[in-house]
Amino acid sequence: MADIEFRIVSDRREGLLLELGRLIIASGFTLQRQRMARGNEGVVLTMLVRGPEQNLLHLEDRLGSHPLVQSFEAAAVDGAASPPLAAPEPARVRAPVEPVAEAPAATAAPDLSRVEPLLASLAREYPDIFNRVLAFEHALPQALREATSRYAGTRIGAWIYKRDYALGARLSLADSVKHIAFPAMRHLLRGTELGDDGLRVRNSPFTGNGLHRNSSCHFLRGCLEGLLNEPGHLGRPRILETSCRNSGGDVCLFTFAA
Amino acid sequence: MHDHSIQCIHDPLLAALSYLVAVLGSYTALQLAIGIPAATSARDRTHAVIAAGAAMGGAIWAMHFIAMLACQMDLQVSYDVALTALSALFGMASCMAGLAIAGSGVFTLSKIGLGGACMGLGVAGMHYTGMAAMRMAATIHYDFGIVCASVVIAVVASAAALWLAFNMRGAAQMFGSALVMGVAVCGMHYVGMFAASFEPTSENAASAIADGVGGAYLGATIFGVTTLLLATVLVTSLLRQQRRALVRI
Repeated sequence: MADIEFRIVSDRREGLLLELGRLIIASGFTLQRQRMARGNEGVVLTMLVRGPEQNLLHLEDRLGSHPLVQSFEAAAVDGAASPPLAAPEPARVRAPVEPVAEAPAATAAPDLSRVEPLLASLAREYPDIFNRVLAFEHALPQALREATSRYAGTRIGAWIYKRDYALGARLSLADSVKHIAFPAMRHLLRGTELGDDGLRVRNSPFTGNGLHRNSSCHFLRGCLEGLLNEPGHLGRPRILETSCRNSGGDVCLFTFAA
Repeated sequence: MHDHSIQCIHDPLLAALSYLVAVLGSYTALQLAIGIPAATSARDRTHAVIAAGAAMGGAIWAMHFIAMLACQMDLQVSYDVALTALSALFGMASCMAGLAIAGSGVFTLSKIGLGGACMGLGVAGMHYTGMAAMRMAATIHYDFGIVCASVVIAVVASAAALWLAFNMRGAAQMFGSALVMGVAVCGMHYVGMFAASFEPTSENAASAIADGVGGAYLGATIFGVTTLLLATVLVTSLLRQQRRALVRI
């Protein structure tokens, strides 16, 4: 078990602790202590979490891709000697758990100028879009890859919704996943299945290409966000890739929560 | 089996045509109805409800009277104009109410149940008002149990059709809902006809039918309604294709 202190910067206070607390629990960690303060950078949430060391990279990956997280730092803490959480100070931040080169500490904003030219081509080639998306992802700098790919996905997802799924009743989240997200994803990737635990993608083109370490299907996650956010009445449902073939899973599993 | 004094033998071709018209009308109406939740203003919503309800009511009406033309009896029959028009209005109003309920807010089963009840009662109300419009030298007697069964069929199948139309997407939404709604309309009608027995009266046949319109006028009106439904299908699908192509990414 490892004790890790995360210092997270966000631009939103409301729901931040709840959202990230859920994410931490879903990654197999428990929240020991937390403190929230407003600083020059925005809202700073400091959290001490405890959990299995092998899940840490996964948790960092999910924190890094969370829309509420602008940037974060992680530091290993000696559980026995850990001081009470006060205002975060650089002196208490120990060596990063992962080398910066492998796990960028801060998430970048998507590069919109790169996405816009891509979208018209994707609309033309839909549903055979993955060769182009993979080439696009490959050409992105590492720091921009996740956010930009995910943003492109949300635009495509919203477009598919408006084109093919907008007519009909406003559905609950579960029914939206069943009747909108699932058929839309199956149209893109035949190996998509709907299970009790979420949407399972057996043949994600984003796995095994060496571009990502852990969860890698950022475009697909964005696509699901676009499909489910576009109707407007569901708020912003949380969509997580809780298992990925890139990190040893049998399938890429996407879960949904209101 | 009922021992009908006057037998009604249905022409199978016209009976099949009545189902086709019910499906065509239901398709038109439900395609218009699924635009109700997407309406961006109260005015658009009202227009969508009126258009969908009118199409559905018109389809039920056309189906009923095609099926009445299919019913071959050894008896001259005409139809009271006011009651015939009232039956159409009743069907349309009930369908507008049902579709407005089903298309409002977030989809729930209770809304579908309530919407289905409105539409099912509308189908039944239209049918029995249409039957009351018959002018002939005979009286109609109904088996109450079978009448109730016909209403239950209409309500349950209408609710199922609404569920498919509003909850599903894709082919099941487009075609499944129309096929099931066709079953609601036709199932209700033919079970309702089975509940009816026609007892001849001593009234003179010519005077009995004197104040109604005959089958020829009815046929022309049905042709008009069916043509209008077909035209609406065509225009709706062309407009949808156009809008789909214009969706900006």
